[in-house]
Amino acid sequence: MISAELGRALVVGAVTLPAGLWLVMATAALVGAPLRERWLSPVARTIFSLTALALVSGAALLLPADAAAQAIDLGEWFAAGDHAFHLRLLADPPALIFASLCAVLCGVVAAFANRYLHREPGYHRFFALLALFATGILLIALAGSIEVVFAGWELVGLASALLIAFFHERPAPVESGLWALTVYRLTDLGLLGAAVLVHHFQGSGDFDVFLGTSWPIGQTPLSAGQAGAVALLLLFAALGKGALLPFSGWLPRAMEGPTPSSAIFYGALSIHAGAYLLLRAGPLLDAAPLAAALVALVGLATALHATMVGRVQTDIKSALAYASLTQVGIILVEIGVGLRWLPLLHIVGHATLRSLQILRAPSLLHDFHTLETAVGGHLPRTGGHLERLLPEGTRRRLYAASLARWRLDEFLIAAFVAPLRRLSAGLDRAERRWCALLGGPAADDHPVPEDTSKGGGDAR
Amino acid sequence: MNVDAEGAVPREDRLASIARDLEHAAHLLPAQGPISVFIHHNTLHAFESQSFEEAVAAAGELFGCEPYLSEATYRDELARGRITADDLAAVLARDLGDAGDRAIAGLCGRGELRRASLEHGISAPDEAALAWILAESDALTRLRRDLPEATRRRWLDRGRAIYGRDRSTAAIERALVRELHDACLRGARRAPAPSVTASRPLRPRDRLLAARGIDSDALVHPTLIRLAGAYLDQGIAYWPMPGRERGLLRASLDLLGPEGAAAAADPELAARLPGALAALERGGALASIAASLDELGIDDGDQEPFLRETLLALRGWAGLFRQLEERPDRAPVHAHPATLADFVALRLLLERAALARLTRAHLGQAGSLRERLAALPEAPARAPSPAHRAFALFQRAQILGIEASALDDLDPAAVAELFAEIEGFDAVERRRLLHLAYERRYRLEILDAIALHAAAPVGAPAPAEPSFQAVFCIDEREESLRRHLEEIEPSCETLGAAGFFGVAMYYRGIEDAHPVPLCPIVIRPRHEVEEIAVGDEAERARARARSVRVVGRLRRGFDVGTRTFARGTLLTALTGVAAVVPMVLRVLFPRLAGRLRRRSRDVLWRGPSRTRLALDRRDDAHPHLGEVMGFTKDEMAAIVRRLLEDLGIAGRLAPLVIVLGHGSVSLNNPHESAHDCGACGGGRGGPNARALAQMANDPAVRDRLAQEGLEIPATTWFVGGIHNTCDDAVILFDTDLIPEATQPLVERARRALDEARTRDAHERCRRFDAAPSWLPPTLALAHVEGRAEDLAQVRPEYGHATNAICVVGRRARTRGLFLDRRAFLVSYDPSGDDEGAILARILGAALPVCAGINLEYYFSRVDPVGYGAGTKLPHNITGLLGVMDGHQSDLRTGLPWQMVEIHEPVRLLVIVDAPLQRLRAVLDANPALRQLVEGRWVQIAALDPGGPEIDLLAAGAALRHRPTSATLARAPSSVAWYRGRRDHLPCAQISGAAPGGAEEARR
Repeated sequence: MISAELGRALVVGAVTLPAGLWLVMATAALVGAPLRERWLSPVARTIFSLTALALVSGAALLLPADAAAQAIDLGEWFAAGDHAFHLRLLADPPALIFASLCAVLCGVVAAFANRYLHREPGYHRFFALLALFATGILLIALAGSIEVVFAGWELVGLASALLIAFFHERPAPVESGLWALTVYRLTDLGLLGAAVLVHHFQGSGDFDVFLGTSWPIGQTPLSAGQAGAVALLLLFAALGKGALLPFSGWLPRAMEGPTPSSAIFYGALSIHAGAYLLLRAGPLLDAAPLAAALVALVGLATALHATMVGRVQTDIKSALAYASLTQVGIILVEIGVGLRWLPLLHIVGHATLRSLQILRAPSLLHDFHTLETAVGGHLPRTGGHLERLLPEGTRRRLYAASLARWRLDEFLIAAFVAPLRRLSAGLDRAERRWCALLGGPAADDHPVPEDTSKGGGDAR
Repeated sequence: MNVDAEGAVPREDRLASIARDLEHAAHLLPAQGPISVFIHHNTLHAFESQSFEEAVAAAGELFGCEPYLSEATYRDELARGRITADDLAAVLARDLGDAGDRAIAGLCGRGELRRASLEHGISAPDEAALAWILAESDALTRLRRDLPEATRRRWLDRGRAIYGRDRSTAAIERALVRELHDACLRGARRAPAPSVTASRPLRPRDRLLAARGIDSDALVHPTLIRLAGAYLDQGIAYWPMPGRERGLLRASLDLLGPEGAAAAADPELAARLPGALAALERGGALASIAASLDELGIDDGDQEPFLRETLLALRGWAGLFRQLEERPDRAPVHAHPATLADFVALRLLLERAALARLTRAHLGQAGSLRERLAALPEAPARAPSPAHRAFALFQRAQILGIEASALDDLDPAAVAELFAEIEGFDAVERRRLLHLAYERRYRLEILDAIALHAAAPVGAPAPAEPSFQAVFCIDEREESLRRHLEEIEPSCETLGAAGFFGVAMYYRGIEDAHPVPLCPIVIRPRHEVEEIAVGDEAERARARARSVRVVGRLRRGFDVGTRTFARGTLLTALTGVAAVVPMVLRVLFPRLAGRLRRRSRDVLWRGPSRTRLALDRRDDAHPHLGEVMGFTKDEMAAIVRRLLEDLGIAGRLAPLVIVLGHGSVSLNNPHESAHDCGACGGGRGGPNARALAQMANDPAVRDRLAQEGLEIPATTWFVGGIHNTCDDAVILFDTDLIPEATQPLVERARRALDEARTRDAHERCRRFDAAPSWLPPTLALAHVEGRAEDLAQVRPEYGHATNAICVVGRRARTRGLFLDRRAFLVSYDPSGDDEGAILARILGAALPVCAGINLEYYFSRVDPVGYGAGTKLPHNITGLLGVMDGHQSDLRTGLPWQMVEIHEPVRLLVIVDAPLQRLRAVLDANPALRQLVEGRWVQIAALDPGGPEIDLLAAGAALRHRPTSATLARAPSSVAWYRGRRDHLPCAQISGAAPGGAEEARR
């Protein structure tokens, strides 16, 4: 029991450490005295190493413990009337495994970034955001209630968008960051909706209440319809963070940030957050086969999309981003068909391998040369079987579509952005007419600023 | 649309004129080829026919880049003493000549006025910022804070005289400043309006952007970059672009066209595709360009500038197409027919579609695209407002103590003169002078040091008969290694020659997949050389190659597999977790990981321990790239002879001559090749050194040389080797061949070299913030070794960041002088070269290379984003050819910020140990050198071979250098001088080392 106590303390400590670091750094920045690299560097390295160590050893202590020992109640967050929101962590096996992965990868990336961002003017900002991200992703991993998930989810989203826009002196990163933020905000509605529904149905957002206790075979008290509705909303939430269809377009754009943040977020952790959420909500999917089928379908479509688009990418970071997305799609299929341990293993294996690949991306020329040396000539051509299997016209169409990334962004603009802009332009016109009617014609008619941003073209 | 129908220009002429204009504009594109072979060159090579100052201003205007460092940077240097007031006064005096004394509007001297602008920061805010400054800051209530105390007191005294003694200082100050500003404003209103020429952009995109804030490139670039990237890709994409053999334009049209259906979403593009295809069939890409020019309404007279602006809109990509068009052999894997015309034609086609779409959406449906574009309003020329002009005068008036009443008294002609002078001395002019002052300070320090050292060397004299001679590349990174070697082994002599050592060849090592050229980029080698295993080692080499190939194929399969669908699932789910081991090891313990990797490789498959270069001419084997395999004995003799003559050691060879090439190996560094040897065309010069040694040891070669009167003593042995400038490893080749009698000497030299490279690593570490200053040399060596293996290290080494000078002459002139890794050191013995033939060939080869390196660093440093490649952190390798920022941007050419951050951008100062007349004759005879010198792209000076006199060649005349200091700092050893200091260091005499001594200088 002592070991379980210690384990719980270590897990809570692991979540608190990056949060504390962020708080200190944010305060320092707020009072206009950001920490110098010389001081920050050892502190950040220590904090992130301690986080990883605490979590891994906490996990080792807690994994064999019983279910009761794995629930960590940190008290009431706030209460309103009959409703109480608990600040509750759940350190059961999937949470411990995913959280250990997060902590180790954050630790490695912090060590990497410490040298990679040496002398960079945004050094302080990067580590503040990394700490914020680590807090968020650990909250998602260890959440014991849907409210805690939501808190982590928002922190991760904010940190990600700001890190994509890290080089804010150029327009392209800022546009890309805004694009990602918009997608996140839109799909976050799914998580918020799910939280509201769960509270409505059960009066509590705690996992043990609506997902049962013993993952992965928990029994949900919700009816099939209720479970399906919540599961679909969670799927919608996962669409954004996981870059699933039709929101995949932000993923290559996310490569605008520095290499280490790309590695950890879009190759490894952030992109798996949606899959992890659905994995946690497995009992809901078990109770709602239709929703489960939809998860598998979205996963399959995403995997097909990503593998085709990924095959034509000619820059290493985009190629790796789409390779990641392919696996995330497949993981969703696995979840959809009712597997639980395999997708968890898949997440851990894939996240680790892909982060290493992205961290190595700038060594590509070196590695390519080494491989050519080993093989003793040019590397064998790839993609031959596609050319054998498909007739030329189809092949060309498929290639062109893949190169254009299936025009997903254009679709989103046409389907969502353009109508919204038309609506606001209409409202603007109505307002002007209304004002003119009431107060006479305006003297200075400000034109509505025009905007053609489709993003991307940083024409330096 | 059809030119023939309009009958304006005959068709053939039209296409030819487009081709000509394109060719002309293409010279402005960055001349950077595929990044795996990085060759330093003057970023403004296309402007070399102009003088440096004209070129930086013109190019700055054209590219939108900075000509010099910012004024604020120079002023910081002024504040910390890197530039002195003397320097400013001297450059101003030279620049103005007698005109400096002329009074401007009767108020102050011209030189005085300029000096005030240089020494004090004159801010030139834009109109909006100026409004803010006047309204919100204390600019109109207080005198400038940076006024000298005397000036300030004078102002206040006058104020008290005018406004009375009883008012508070603050009130007086406010009244003074206010009145002065009002007078300036009155003056500005009286001054004639400045002439303003509106720059009229030719690209419709720029006009649309200026008029309506709509950027059509945002629609064009994503598609264009993807197509260009896909076309040039050398093997990153799993699935290559179809139809690449037909050229970019054709392949893209096929993809965009009805079959590809990508155009379906864009009716404007779809409508133009059949026409583009027809034009392409009829007259190639040029015809397509002609059709685009017509639709966009570009007049014939605007054609060339329009094409230029169009090319420069994505100049990195356009430049790469141009490079691959001219040198398809430089494509790393596939050489598809890349042409600049294809790229421009595709770009213009996409632009037409985008502009048609945007103008239709925002400017109305009526008319053709050409008419809609023609109707766009021109951006009006903006003249600076009187407030703006007044503010410029106001700041100077405060500094110079010019009173309001004096300004009001000026007649109109004087007002005009005053404003003309102030506005003529604009920001670029000010920065030019500040830069000259910045260069002057450094030049004087160096010339002083060289002259003082030549007049009074310290330490023991150089050996008349050196124990061994070590030949290095002229690279300034070898300066420290040479200095340390001389400190450790005072009996040795070090020399410098271009690091290919005269051996121009294609070289294929025993493990290499392809031969690579190892010689300066301007030479196309004829000879090809292979490394082969000796005797019974051949079987082992074959066995190793087999197993390496199997492992290589497995690894390739794994790498590709993890990115695919089904294989990726299996590999990531089942084996992915194992990646945590290499990840943690390589990120947290890079040096250990590197060692483990090498150790395991050696245990698994040991390579042949003995190999040789197959240097001899073989007519039975076919070369892959060169014309012949190997060299004849006569060719070898000529190569050896030339090197020994250049070095000036033909008649005085030591028993051991070590020849060291250099290269740099680092991870996670797309710009790795930029750290390699420039004289080897961005390759590693070990094989060249090895080949030279093997040639010089060859008895047949020695026989031939002896017949020509160049005797190599039988006791002399040559050893080749390589110095890795990143981890400071030194490897010697073919040590098993060394005669027994020479072995002890080699051992001794080896020990000295080991110690020298350790100290070299230590000296380099002073530049790395991450290396604590207390590190002892052995740990410093470990530190640089770790850097080379570190995936997270964006500064594996600082490359040429410290380059600033080039000394051509005997080492005796600089031996014992601490030059801080800033000097290219080229060996040249002025005795016995009265005609200057040797000097001519040495300077002809070395000077352009050194100047190219120096100028590339200059431009990447003064504008790291415009001329340089920006920060490395978001770099993304595309197509194995270059780097982009993020997922789609222009290709980033030039040097990344992390390579140039510590660089001091000064033009190369070349000091030649030769009589002035000889140097002049050599420069006059070589047009390329003359252009560099007369255009002031380099600074050059002659150092009298017999004494300390230095003559600087400037503007056609020779200026005798007058020493500005009488003494030179002295330190017992290099480490004593640099320890604990991280910045650039001044020169010092190292008394432990042995300088040449007076006899040798007189020789």
